[in-house]
Amino acid sequence: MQGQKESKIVHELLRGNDREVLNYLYKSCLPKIKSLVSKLGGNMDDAKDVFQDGVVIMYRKIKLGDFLELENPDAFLYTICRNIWLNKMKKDSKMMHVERMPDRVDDQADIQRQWDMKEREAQLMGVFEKLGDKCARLLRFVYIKQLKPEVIALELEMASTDVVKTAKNRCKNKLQDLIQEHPQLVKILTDKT
Amino acid sequence: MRSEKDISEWIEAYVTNRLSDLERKNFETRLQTDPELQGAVEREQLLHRFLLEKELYDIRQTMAGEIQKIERRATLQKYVAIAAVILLAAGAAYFYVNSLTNKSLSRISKVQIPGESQKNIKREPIGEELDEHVTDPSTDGTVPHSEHEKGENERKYSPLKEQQLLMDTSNKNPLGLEIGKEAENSSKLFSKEDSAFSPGKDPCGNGQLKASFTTKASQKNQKTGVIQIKLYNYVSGSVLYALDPGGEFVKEPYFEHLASDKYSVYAKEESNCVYLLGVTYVRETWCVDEYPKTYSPNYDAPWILPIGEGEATSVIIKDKTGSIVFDWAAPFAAETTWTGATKTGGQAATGLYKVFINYQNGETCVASVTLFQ
Repeated sequence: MQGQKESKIVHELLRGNDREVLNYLYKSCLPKIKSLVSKLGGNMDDAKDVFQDGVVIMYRKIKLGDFLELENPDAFLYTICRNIWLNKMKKDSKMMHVERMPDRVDDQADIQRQWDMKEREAQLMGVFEKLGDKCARLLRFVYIKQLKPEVIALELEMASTDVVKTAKNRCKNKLQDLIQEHPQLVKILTDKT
Repeated sequence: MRSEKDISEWIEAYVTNRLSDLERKNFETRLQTDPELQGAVEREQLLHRFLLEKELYDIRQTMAGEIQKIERRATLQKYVAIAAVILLAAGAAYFYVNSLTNKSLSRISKVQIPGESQKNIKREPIGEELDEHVTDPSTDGTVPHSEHEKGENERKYSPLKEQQLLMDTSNKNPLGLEIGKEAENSSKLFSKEDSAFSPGKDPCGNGQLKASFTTKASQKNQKTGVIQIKLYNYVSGSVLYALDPGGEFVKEPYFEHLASDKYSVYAKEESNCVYLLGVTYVRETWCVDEYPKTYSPNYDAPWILPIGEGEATSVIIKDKTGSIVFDWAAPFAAETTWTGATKTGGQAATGLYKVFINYQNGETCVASVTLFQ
């Protein structure tokens, strides 16, 4: 990834080369984020946490197609991380002043958010387990890595591209049925995060 | 727009943003008027988002580990870079010092004879085995000439023996370590007296010979001293030797019938470059023979010990029990005297005494004297 133009980040992410993008972002952005967080009272571990959260948000936005082109991904990630850290500082500051009142709306919202995240993850994993490993791999190749049927056939040792297409349709139907069986998951996935 | 058969592929391409602008526009136009298509797209979008959330979940789970891996790689690269820099610096320093040492160990001076061309001289590291014998100067054996008649074109020379005088004009071995202080002092003495062949100059520009000398002391007032020269660089071609750069050069690295004196030894190679190999001393026999044998301060004048001009650093006289009765240190003096007194000022007892004269080159000459009070 290093040495390529920043505009290729979106392309690489859409191709599923997450590790390469992470490596690039680590080298290009993390030092700046460490400096920022350090200036704003955080430490190195805080900076890494913020960086990870920022990267996930950036990945999601790019992969959902919110950014088909991103002129300056470094600056974009930096802005996301800055906002994450400022929000965290703001929340921590409020918590210090109020001394953790349990009936605070903010706290309740925060607890709810955390519960939602856990619930979302649990639902995701439950559905995924039911989907089966082979279908999960196949759909990942199709939708995340966006590989051609010929490549998928080789990767999954399938006889032909027709077999890939048949298997894909079968797996898609299976996953769609599984998702529909979990209305809460549908709601979570429908919400723009 | 593609055929109805491919509608699932169209939906998939739309959801994963693989349509061109025109295709997208056309697809969205149809999407607005086709509720069935809308339902299919929504299901596809849910599926896509589900897979994406799972992907992000995995990324989040593995990111900390990935970052640790990146950091470990970065740290390793840093250490490798530091190690490489240190190795490079050490290598550069080694070659720099080596080149300096080779230059400084190279020939001290050169007399270029007009019309003669220089030839390359091959050298070998110090420490090669030698077939020749080195005569111990402390014994009375003479140096056999035949030992020096071999290997006219290419010779191998051995390291010095302890008794040999090291007359290295640079005081450095190829690794830049000091060889001996005596050699340094000798060089300084020589450079003051003979600027034409002062050490450190390398007019030939092709290296410097290193030599050691074995001397045999001359008898008192007689020309019986001997100097044997030993090169311990490897050279190709013959080397000629002389004690006078303007005099006759001889093939044998050996000079005899020498009076007690200081000698500069020169070498001339086939290239006709003349080099000062070093300086050595032929001393009088009294140093190693027992001279004078008796001394009586009651009747004689104070005993004057000729210790060689500019050579001795200290003189010690011990009685038969090994106790020091006389301890004198005055480097570069030509002589010293002993009145027969002890260090505390009392009279030394009648008896046998040993005189130890320590020289700059590390040699110690021992003489014996019987004192009569």
